[in-house]
Amino acid sequence: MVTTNEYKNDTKHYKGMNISIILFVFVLFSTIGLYFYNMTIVSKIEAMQTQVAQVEESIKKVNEDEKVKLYVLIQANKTYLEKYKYLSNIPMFINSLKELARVHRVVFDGFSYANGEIISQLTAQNDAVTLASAKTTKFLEYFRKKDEHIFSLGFVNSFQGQEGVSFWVKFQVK
Amino acid sequence: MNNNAKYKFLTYLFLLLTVFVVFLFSKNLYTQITENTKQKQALTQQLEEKNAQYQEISKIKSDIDSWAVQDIDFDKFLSNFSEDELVEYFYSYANNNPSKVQIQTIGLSQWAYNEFGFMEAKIDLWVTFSSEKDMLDMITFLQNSQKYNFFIHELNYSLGNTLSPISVNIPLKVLYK
Repeated sequence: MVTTNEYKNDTKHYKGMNISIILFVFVLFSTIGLYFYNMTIVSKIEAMQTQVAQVEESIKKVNEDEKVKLYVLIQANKTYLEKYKYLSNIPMFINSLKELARVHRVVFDGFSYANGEIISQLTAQNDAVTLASAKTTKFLEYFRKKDEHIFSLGFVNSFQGQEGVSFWVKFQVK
Repeated sequence: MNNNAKYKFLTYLFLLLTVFVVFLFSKNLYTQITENTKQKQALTQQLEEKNAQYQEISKIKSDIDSWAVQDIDFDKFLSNFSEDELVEYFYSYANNNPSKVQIQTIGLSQWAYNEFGFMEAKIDLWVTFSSEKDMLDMITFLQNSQKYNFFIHELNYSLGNTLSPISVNIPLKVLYK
């Protein structure tokens, strides 16, 4: 004959067993679920790796075209090429110097150009209307007070003469 | 074995099996899933970037093929740096302007890649010009060359000398791919 206490004890252990079975089944199914989920991710990864390889191959094929390579290179160095071209515009620089000489009634002697820097010797002579010193001052003023020219004038640290004032000028192409 | 002991035994057995499954399988699978998810995310990003790159480059190619790119003279960049063609190029100009231009020497240096990825070669052109104007004409001709990308970044001459002939070294740079 089963006593009430024994019955209660059996039921308690029976419940405990059921819980442990449910827990085990839950863990087992969860693990199986994780396994299939992992398999799905792995197959997606493989598919994506294939896709990446295909796209890379397509890029490589397009890149084999010399014109495409060149276009990319030119676009990447557009600023550099524009500067290269601009600094190569020697006739424009010489004509600008000549225009400066005409406007300020001075003479440039020599033209030494290297990478955007021009060195020349400037001479201003007295004439019937203007003193050489006034021409010199006006010339320097033009560069110091306005900033409109394609050249900027470097600091001039030495002047020779009075009736004919000469000095070295160093222009930087802007 | 009474029921109580049987239940107890089975409870511990299933608990043990649960722990066994968790530590031997679930834990590893969870770690793998975490790593694979990260890898998948990285691949998704990589694929997006590659697709964007491919689209960009395909557009460039189709633009080039359909002549939509007109601001670049490809032929000038793709021309060969060969002595015969260059020498012929300079002498033909001089021969067409015999009273204005007299070539003294032409010095060619081997090309090398510059810092921007272009091939760059140097040409030293020693020329005697009848006048400053003739010199400027030739420089303009070289700058506007239909065949080569010439650049001149150095020049020394006696500015203002308009009467006597001028001998000048024109150091040319040629850029190509």
